[in-house]
Amino acid sequence: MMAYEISLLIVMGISITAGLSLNLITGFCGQISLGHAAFMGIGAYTSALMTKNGLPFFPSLAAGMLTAGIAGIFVGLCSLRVRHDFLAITTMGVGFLFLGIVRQQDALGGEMGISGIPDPGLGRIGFLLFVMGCAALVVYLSLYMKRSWLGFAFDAVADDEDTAGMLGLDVTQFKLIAFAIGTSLAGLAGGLYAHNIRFIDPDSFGFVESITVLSMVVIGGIGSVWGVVIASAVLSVLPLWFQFIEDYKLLVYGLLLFSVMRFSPGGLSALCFNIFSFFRKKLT
Amino acid sequence: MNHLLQVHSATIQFGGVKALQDVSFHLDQEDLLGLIGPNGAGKTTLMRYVTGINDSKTGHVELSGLKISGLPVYQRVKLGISMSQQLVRPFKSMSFLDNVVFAAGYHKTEKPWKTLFIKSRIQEKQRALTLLERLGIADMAMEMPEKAPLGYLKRLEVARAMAIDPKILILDEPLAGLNQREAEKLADTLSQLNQQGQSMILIEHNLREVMRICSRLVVLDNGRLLAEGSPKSVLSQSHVQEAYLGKELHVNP
Ligand SMILES: Nc1ncnc2c1ncn2[C@@H]1O[C@H](COP(=O)(O)OP(=O)(O)OP(=O)(O)O)[C@@H](O)[C@H]1O
Ligand SMILES: [Mg+2]
Repeated sequence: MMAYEISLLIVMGISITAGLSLNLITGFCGQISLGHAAFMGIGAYTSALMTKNGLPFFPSLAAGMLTAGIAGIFVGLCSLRVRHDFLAITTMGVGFLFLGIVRQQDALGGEMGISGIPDPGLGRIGFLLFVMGCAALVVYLSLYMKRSWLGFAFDAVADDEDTAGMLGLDVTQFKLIAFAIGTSLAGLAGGLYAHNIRFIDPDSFGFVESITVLSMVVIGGIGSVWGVVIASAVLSVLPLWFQFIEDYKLLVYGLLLFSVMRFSPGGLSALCFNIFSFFRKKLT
Repeated sequence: MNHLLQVHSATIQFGGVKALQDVSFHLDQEDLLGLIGPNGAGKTTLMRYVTGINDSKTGHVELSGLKISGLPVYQRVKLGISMSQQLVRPFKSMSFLDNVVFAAGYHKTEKPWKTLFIKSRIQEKQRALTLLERLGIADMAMEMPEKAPLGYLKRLEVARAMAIDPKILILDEPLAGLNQREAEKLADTLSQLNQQGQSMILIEHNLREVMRICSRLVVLDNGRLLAEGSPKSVLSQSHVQEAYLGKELHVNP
């Protein structure tokens, strides 16, 4: 395989992991987040600082997941009382808060970011296999979760949390679980990202990145695992192929988000389903 | 002996509207208590106070002598209080069956972290189907709630409330949206359930069915307790007739 293709596949795998991690929170549990990149950033900074200080790759990656997950639980706790639009604004605030802090900290590289992050030492193919393995695991976890009672409870919370509470569900706990799992997986994606590019700065995890991840979830079809996998894979490589998408990312993804919300709120997966049913009706 | 449920002087205000003023009442084991009163009397508000959705400035609620006011809704549900809503709120992403399956799995979702490792829904499906059949809506089991008629959605509310095996079943106007024959049938089912030992509070405007199946009545008017006692004695009081039936009694004596 060519180095270029390997790089593309690695980017895809990382982005699938990131997309699905937000899908757990926004898709499964119905809690919108406009600051998801911050948790990828926490995972990235944690693991990068650790490997730069000579610690091995895998424990550093795990530590990144842990810090991101703890931050996620904390943010979850703080936003338990807010819903919908207010939750969107709160999580957006978290994203900016993260950027603000990182920019000011010399220990975190400030505006300059962190460069010279060590190679994980798996070789390019080895790293690709590892990234793909992570993505596959997250796909499996998502599918598994959907069929478990955890997924069932998430459905209820996403649908109508007051009613879920009236049926005895401890909604708070379930939201926290969604935040904990989703943000720690975001931390995983962030750690992988840091050790793939081997350079990170605050802008790698800014508002545009949060919107990009949200686009993957919404365009794929909120809650649909395979829809999000496809959307994440495609949206992650488009900017590499078309320079103008890279230049106008916020505009392009904003437009995509808007058109999906307006014309096919169920995303790609609903669109495919509708087209399929349309043709089946025509045939019979 | 403690009452099964005791509400002490609930007072609830929404902005300038005094929805409840110093209302106390109780429910005994195996009672079927009818809670009646004109529109806006405060019936729903009182029951939402019992379940914990509405909060009262004064007073408190006791379940078998245990103070439960202050607990969040879900914990009161776990202690055995369950309520079907007047304004139906089905989970729209789930079929009729799954709505009830989810409720019937209340013991499976008790420890949130463990739910990831629990998959089987067989028992809950069985239970849900039995409930749907008992309420006469099993024909809709696989349908989504979106386009279902109100009468079906009302009974789905009842099925979900029953599915969590409550000590006290509170039903807010379950007969609304049903024709007289369906209403009679559902009232019979509720009466049967009560005879099997289920304690129940029934908010209902259908006085005919209320008179037929309830063992005690509590009447609210304008946020105040107007009367309580056996159905006959309550409805024979003239101030109840005035408040509840309005002027028509005087017009056509
Ligand atoms: N959330 C709320 N906000 C503001 N006012 C409310 C709210 N809930 C109830 N009210 C008011 O409180 C009063 C009592 O309402 P409630 O719904 O308890 O009456 P009800 O006896 O259930 O009437 P109905 O038979 O029409 O269901 C009404 O005047 C109503 O407008
Ligand atoms: Mg009411």
